[in-house]
Amino acid sequence: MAQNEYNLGDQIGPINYMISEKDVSDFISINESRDSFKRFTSKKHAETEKFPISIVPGNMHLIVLSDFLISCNDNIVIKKMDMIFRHIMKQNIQLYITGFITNLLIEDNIKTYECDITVKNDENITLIIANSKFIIK
Amino acid sequence: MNIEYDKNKLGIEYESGPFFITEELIKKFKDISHIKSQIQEPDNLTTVPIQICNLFMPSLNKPDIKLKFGNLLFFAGQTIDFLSDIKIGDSLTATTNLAKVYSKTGRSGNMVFIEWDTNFKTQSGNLVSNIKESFVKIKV
Repeated sequence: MAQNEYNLGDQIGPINYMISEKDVSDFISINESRDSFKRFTSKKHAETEKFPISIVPGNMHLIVLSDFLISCNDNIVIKKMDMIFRHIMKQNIQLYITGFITNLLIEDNIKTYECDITVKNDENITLIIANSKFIIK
Repeated sequence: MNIEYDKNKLGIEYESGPFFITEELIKKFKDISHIKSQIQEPDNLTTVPIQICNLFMPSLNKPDIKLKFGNLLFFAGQTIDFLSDIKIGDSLTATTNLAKVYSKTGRSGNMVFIEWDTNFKTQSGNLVSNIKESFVKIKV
């Protein structure tokens, strides 16, 4: 779907999403530094670093949230993404990703939208709070 | 809270790279962009997703700041500004510096935050992305 403009308060999504062990291992396979990723793929290694479970690499979420926006509207061009983690992100849990348009700035005839994004689990606990700025191409 | 770490590391720039933007890397990156691939056909390969810079973050050259606090370090947040386009064939270099180390107190006790600031530039010096990463260290 390609929407050409948004109004304040418009909702993007929600979508259901799950980051599996395979998603994590595919992501890690294209990173250059694999040693620092053991805690994401090995439960044993995660425990040695005091993690109770295998978690999702933090930098993978930028890609997930960017994909979320672009998959909802493939005309979106992301200019900024700001994410704050409120909990450790476990693998293989159901996630609900939703965006809300919170601001619109117009400069030189270019509309820049601001969008708050939340990632929640199935207990409605907010795991990530994000804010993105994007334009529509 | 007095935080013990190597303060001499603050503000010093550490270079990493080059990171080569190849067609193969873009193809792999698009394959892992799971949500998008479920919904639409892959883009033309000449379009490089700017968020690809984030793939290089774990391999950046960062010093040990010898922080004497806590035993569990994890990702706390990230801010990324996408500043200009990247093309296949570009080689990127990154400059990282330790921006801030500070403490906060939450329900679970004291936490120390470590912030790194990284700029990615192309071979011609064009700034393509600025990434601020924040890690938190706690005692468990």
